[in-house]
Amino acid sequence: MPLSDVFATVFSGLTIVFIALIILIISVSLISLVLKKNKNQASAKPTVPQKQPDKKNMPIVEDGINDEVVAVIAAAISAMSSEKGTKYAIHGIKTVKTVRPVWAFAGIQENTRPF
Amino acid sequence: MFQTFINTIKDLFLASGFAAFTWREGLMILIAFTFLYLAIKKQYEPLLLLPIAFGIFLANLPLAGLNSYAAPANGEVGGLLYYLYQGVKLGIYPPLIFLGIGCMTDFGPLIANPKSFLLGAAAQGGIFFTFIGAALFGFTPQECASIAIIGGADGPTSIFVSTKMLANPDIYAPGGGFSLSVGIIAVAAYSYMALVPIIQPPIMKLLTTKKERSVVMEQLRTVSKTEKVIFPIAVTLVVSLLVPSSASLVGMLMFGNIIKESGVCERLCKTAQNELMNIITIFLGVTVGATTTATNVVNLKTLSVILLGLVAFCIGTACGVLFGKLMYLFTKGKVNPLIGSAGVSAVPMAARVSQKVGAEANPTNFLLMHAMGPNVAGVIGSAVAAGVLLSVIPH
Repeated sequence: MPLSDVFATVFSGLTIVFIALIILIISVSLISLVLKKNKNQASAKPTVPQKQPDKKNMPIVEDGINDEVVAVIAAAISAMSSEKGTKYAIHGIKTVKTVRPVWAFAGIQENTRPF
Repeated sequence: MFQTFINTIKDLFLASGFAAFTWREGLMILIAFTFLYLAIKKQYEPLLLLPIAFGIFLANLPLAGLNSYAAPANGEVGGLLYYLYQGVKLGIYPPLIFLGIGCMTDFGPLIANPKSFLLGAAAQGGIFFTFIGAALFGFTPQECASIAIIGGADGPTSIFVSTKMLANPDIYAPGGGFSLSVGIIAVAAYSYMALVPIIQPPIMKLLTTKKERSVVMEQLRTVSKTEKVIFPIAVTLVVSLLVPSSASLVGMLMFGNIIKESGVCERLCKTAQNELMNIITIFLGVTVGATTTATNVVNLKTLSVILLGLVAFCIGTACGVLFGKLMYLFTKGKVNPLIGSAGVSAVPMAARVSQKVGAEANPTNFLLMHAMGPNVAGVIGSAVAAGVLLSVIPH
């Protein structure tokens, strides 16, 4: 390969790599600038004061009950109320002490229900 | 009956590998054992070097038909590794490796400081200046490109380019003679990547002063999730339009990255960076190693390839550091030139070396995240450089 072709290949190769990455610098900087402007505009808008939850009517949750369990119970009740069209309010969540575990009780009910 | 027995034993021996064993195969097997030792005992990039070394071992077992070029002939099917090698030959495995790499890469430091792209570009000087060196050694343009890409310090990219360049010996080695193998390129690339902590520091110290090495850089800003999601899309668009030959590498890298950054494809991300990477690494490593047979390695030109590969690495490091010095001057001392050496895309080894050398000059200096920017930019830069070589050099 003639040396002139070699140098031409090297020069053009390096130029293209630099051009590609300079275009990327400009693109990334522009994207960051636009997103920063949008974020500033959003934070400049007056925010509607959020309604604070009514602390008097908050359900009383027994100590030791996981937040996830509370969420699951609330979701189940919400699903039930949308099914039946009746609104329910949760006033308290506590562990019910039973002799038989709840799942076993549910299993028995399921199996003994009339066909 | 005794004569029949003797004849049977004699025929079996003549049909065995022992009869076909020559000193060339013996030498290649010894080379394979050396690489196995380096991979297992010294832990030099074992994930790739061990499969490559074992591939070399399998390919040089006489009459086993386990080299990657054992195509179907005379009504016989091809060898196992021939079929697995099609993934390399058709340019499938390297982009899939890049998919996994994209899933494991955080481009945050690069987005926070886009000027790092320049350092990633500068370090690709190792590729192009080595191209000149290879041409002076008398290699053909295709061989020059395959040797030069070692300077990108990127294994999948080196394999991708050299597979395409060396696919047709009628083009790159007209009239027969020395035929460079993908295996030599891969072994050189991965060996030098493992030696980055040894190769780079002397060059970095030679080209910088203690004052420059002690520069403490400003903390990088936080990058939002939106930026991290838009980044891969922007890079794919820009690079694929500019250099379409690099679209498969850069596209898969950014695809992997968007899977990770979107946060909605966790399962895909986990698979891409674990199971998929591991499977492709096994197939790629063993089949690339199996391209290295005695006929294309036991040759003085192989030594020139090894030497030029080392030169490519050294020039890449030097170009990155020198550009870092230029940025140090232009920014009036805000950029530490050591991060320039991380522009070679040996992620994250090169960034760790910048951190280590910087800490030697100033123990309170933490350059690692600053060096990660040029380091990941180097991955993109080497893919772009690969695309340029594939577009310019006929193959």
